[in-house]
This record gives sequence, structure tokens and C-alpha cells, in this order.
Amino acid sequence: MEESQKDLELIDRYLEGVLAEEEQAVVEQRLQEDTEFKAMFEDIKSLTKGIEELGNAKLKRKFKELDANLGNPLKDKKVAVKEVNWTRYIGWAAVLVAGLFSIIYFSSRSQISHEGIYEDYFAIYDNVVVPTKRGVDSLELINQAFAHYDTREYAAAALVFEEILKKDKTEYIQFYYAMTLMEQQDWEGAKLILEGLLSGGENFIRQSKWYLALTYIRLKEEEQSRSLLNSLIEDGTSYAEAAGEIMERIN
Amino acid sequence: MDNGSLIAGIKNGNDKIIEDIYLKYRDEFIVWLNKYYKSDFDEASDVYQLLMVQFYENIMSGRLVELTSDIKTYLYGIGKNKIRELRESSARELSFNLESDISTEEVLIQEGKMNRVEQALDELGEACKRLLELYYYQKRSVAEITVTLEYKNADTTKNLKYKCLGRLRKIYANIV
Repeated sequence: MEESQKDLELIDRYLEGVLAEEEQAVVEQRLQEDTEFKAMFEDIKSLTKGIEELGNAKLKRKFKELDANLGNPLKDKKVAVKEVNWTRYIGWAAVLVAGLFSIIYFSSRSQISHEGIYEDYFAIYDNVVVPTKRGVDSLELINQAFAHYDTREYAAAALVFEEILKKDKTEYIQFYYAMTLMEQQDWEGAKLILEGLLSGGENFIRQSKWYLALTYIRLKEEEQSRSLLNSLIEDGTSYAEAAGEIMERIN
Repeated sequence: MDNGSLIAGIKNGNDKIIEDIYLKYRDEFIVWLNKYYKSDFDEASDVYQLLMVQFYENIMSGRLVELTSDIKTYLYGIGKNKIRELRESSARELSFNLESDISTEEVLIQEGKMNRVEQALDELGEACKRLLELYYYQKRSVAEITVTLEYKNADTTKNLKYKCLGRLRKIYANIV
């Protein structure tokens, strides 16, 4: 194999994150010392990333082409409201109103759909800390846990996280473990972890507040949820708007 | 078509499936985002396109092999994250742009690089282009590409991949 092709393969595998530690160190050393190698590295990085981004750009172009032939459903929604002759429905409306009053009367304490709010707003937090490596069956527990997480095998991920947490209480491990518990509908378990993160942690604070607020909602603990939602609104974080909407719904 | 067949079809390059899914949930999603996140049409359309690209990427990279919920729930789940990311990055850009205009410069450099990559790929030749796109964009493994492109074996594919990448680099370097 030509020398330059060997280098190219080395760089490509480095960028994919599949090199052994010693090989990684060799690449990093050469990047410091060898300008030609560094230039090749920068080009390969731009090219491989560029191919990926171009593919996404093409897909977006295709969606835009599809959009060109479609309407704006927000406008269409308003246009679609037709004139109705209401007099035909007065009798039925009277029965309906009477029925609604009885429902409201008998269920005044259960007007809030806690499950509904939770379903509308809960979306599991993406793995943004440990990239999954293609084609690598890593023996490291942390990679195993996040590989399961990325493939949405949350029960399996939870088991590995539990194993890691026996020795390592790093905050992000706890946070993602809580996510797997929420996905498995173990809200009490998630609550315990997230409360712990908020009482003594330094990282994942606003995320923990958001997910704990949702957990409280799901457990019908409205007061605790209100306090966290207010805090998110005051902080003006990216969760502020959604927090405001939930406050409107639970008030 | 069940969810397993949908995913397998997209993975095998059947673009019609992704288009059908795009059309099926588009209006409903835009209305939903408008209702719960107060998105206007432009923002909702952007988020929908981003989530569909993410959905496609998750399938191609093997991160999504099986749906545990229905497809709509999965798409809305991605959508909720995308709207937050989009608003967070807009807020960041706004505060950054108030301090300096480096961001604009960076965007231009990035666009220039992308144009060079596109031009280099066009000059590369169809066979090499296809191989590199299958690997780097569609995230196919060497074994899968060997079968798809009917190469002799995985070593041949791997060797060709590096030859193509080397050739692409030479073309890229010569584009000013």
C-alpha cells in the first residue's frame, strides 16, 4: 500500500473514532509535527463531513420541492371553517350543554390531564455526550450504555447505567439513567435521581429541572412542578416557553 | 406497510417511502407545533424538515432499527427536541451577532468549503461518488456496500474506498 494511502486510512479511522489508544497518540503527535499530514487531515475531515452534509442538504432540497406543491395548513385551517346553519343543531346543543355541565360538576377535581400534558411535552433527551461508534463492539460499559440508549433500548441501557453508577456517580450518567427510567415509566425512580441532581449537582441543572417538572406532573404533584416551571420561566432558558404553556394548562 | 418494512425500505434506498411519510404527517405536525409551541408556518416547516432529516439519519446510521412506539409518536418526539434546539441556537446566534460579525464570516467559509466538496464530487466519477456517498452519507458498512455494488469482497471495497477518497482529495485540492 502506498504511504499516502496508509496515512489516509489512518486519518479516516481516527476521525471515525475506531483507532486504538496508541494509534490515536501517533496521529495526534504527527498532527503537531508534520504539516503535510496535517493538511491531509484537514482535507479528509472537510471532505467526509462535506459528503454527509451535502446528502442532508439534498434531502432538504427534496422536501422543499415537495413543499412547493403544498399549502400552508395554518391558513387552510382558517379557510376551512365553513358557515353553518346553527338553528338545526339547537336541540342537540341543549342536550350536549346539559351533559357537559354534569361532567364538569362531577369531575371538578380531575380537570387537568396530567398524562396528557406529560405526553405532549416529554421527549427523551438526546445523547449529546458519548458518540456511538460504528462497527465497534466496545467493552467499555459507558459506550455500551449509550449504544443501547441511541438504539432506544432503554431497559438494557438502564441496566448498564446501574452497573456504572455502583462505582461512578458522575452527573451525566445519573441524568441519562433518569431518562431511561422515565422511558420505562418508573417516575418514582426518576424523581429520586433528578431531585438528587438538583440538590447537589452542577451540571444538567436546567435539563433536570425540566424533566423533574414533567415527572411531578405525571405523578400529579402539581405544587412541586409549579415551583420548577416558574424557575425555568424566570431563568429564560429554552424550556421557558414550554414551561409557561404547562403553567397555563395546570392553572 | 408495517414499521419494520418502512425502516428496511428506507435503508435500502427507497426514497418514495420517506417522501410518503413526509407528506403524511406534515400538515398535522405544523398545526400541532403552532398550537403548542406558537410556531409560525416558516418555523414549523423548518422544524419538520429538520426532524425528517434526523429520522432519515437515524435509520441510515443504524441508530433506529426498530420502532417501539408508532411512527408519529417517534417523529413528534424528535420534533420536540428540534424546536428547542432551533430556538436555543437562534438565541445564541442573536447574542453572538451583537458582539461581532465573525459568525457571518464563518458561515461564508463553510459555504465555500461545501461548494468545493460538491464540485469535487461531481468531477470524481459516478462509481466512486456512489461508493463514498453510501459510506459517509448513508452510513452503510463496508460489508453492505460490497453486496450493493457487487464488489468481489470487503477488502476490495475498502481499498477502493480509500483510492476514491484519495482521488477526491486531489480534485478538491485543485479547486480554487
